Amino acid sequence: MGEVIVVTSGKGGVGKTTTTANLGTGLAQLGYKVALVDADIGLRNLDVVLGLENRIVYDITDVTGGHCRLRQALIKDKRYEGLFLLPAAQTKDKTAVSPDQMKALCEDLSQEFDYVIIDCPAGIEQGFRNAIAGAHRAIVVTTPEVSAVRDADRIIGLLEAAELRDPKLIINRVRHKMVAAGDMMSIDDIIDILAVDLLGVVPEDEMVIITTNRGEAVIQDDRSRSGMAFRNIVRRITGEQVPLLPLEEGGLFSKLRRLMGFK
Amino acid sequence: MRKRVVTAVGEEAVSIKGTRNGLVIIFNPDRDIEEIKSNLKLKMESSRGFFRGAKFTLYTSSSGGDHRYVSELEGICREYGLIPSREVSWLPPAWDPDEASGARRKRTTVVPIRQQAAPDGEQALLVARTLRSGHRIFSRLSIVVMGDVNPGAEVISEGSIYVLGNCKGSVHAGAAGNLMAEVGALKLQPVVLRIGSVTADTPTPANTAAPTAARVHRGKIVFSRL
Repeated sequence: MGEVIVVTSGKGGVGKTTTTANLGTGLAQLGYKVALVDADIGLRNLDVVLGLENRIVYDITDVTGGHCRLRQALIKDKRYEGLFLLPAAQTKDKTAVSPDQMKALCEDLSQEFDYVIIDCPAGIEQGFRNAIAGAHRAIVVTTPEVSAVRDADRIIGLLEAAELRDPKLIINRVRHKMVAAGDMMSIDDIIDILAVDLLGVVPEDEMVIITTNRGEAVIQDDRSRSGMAFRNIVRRITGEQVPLLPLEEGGLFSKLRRLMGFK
Repeated sequence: MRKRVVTAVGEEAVSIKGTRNGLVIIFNPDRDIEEIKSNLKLKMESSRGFFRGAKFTLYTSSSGGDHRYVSELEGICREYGLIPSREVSWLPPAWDPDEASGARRKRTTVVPIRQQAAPDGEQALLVARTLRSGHRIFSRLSIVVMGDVNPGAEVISEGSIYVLGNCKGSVHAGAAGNLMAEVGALKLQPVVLRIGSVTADTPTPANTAAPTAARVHRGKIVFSRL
């Protein structure tokens, strides 16, 4: 039986959908069978990010409402054999699905897939409760901003209340130069408040915007640092021990210095 | 007619004795309860917080007296930061030199009130976890948090608040108006800090590295090392 992971954050715009798309793509690259579920009913995005918008026939509410079979609603990815998307409905709202229905849906999906990754909507209302209902594990995404960290803190509290213990943390859009200058919260500052295990740190990267607009995932780009960070996170999800990526830009000189043991 | 025993500590409704272990507060049960209460409050008020944190036991100067108001008196003492304890005892001298010399003198007889209204120590609500954003804890007792109080969390107590961790949320001690309440934390850097009706202008002390307590002093919140 596969694992159901919910990607959540509380605050909007921190990169839940981007993270979901990249983790799904990365796991599929490694040969796993992955289903991505867009739980953001009414504000459907995951299909656009994956470039699958034009293939949608049925959506999640059709499955829970019994209008189609689960297999009919699952969209196969263009590039990877094992990657599937269950899209959200665009014309309905969060009340179209109940937590019990989501639980049953996740149960069904986990029979067939190695990983089921749920893209949770922003907020802490019904949409959030639906998204976490069937999850075994939670990944909390935050950015180094006071508001995002506070929302992540609230979300971790709510996850604990819902018996989803030990969520893992991804810190997204970190700018090393700003952290070094003291203008941005550091990784330590964030961990100090949230007190959960760190799954990975993703640096701010223009490539994310470029690839997302093309309907691709940055994890496919071998040269980008954010893609590298996501690849490491994927390996950590599968249980591998991977050290954290050094945050600073890897210039030749600094690489040389590191090699020689200075710093 | 009720036999009246006059104590050596005089005709006062309340008298306070210092011992090695703490304070002995003796009240005269023959006096009117309102008089005892106002006298006790006056003594606490004039001590200006000097008694805060001290252990105490209530004694009565007559064994036949009326003990009905014990919990009320104890409550007043607690409000001023005193801590009830059974360890404190005070025995009047058994052998009176005056008596030995033949001069008759009124004997000091005070008896401790063993049935204390509350158990020893200051009662507190123990919160053995970190309070995250959105959590809210309220208690009429003092509150001890074994963990952090994160930004966005609220702790409200009618007594004092102690955080064995990082206090970054919003804390309100003495919420019913008790200005003797205090807030202590291993690292005190709250967003909002209130004690009674006083709100701190700058809720964070200059040095947050050391364990710090916040108290009200002359209508303002001041910080001191714990």
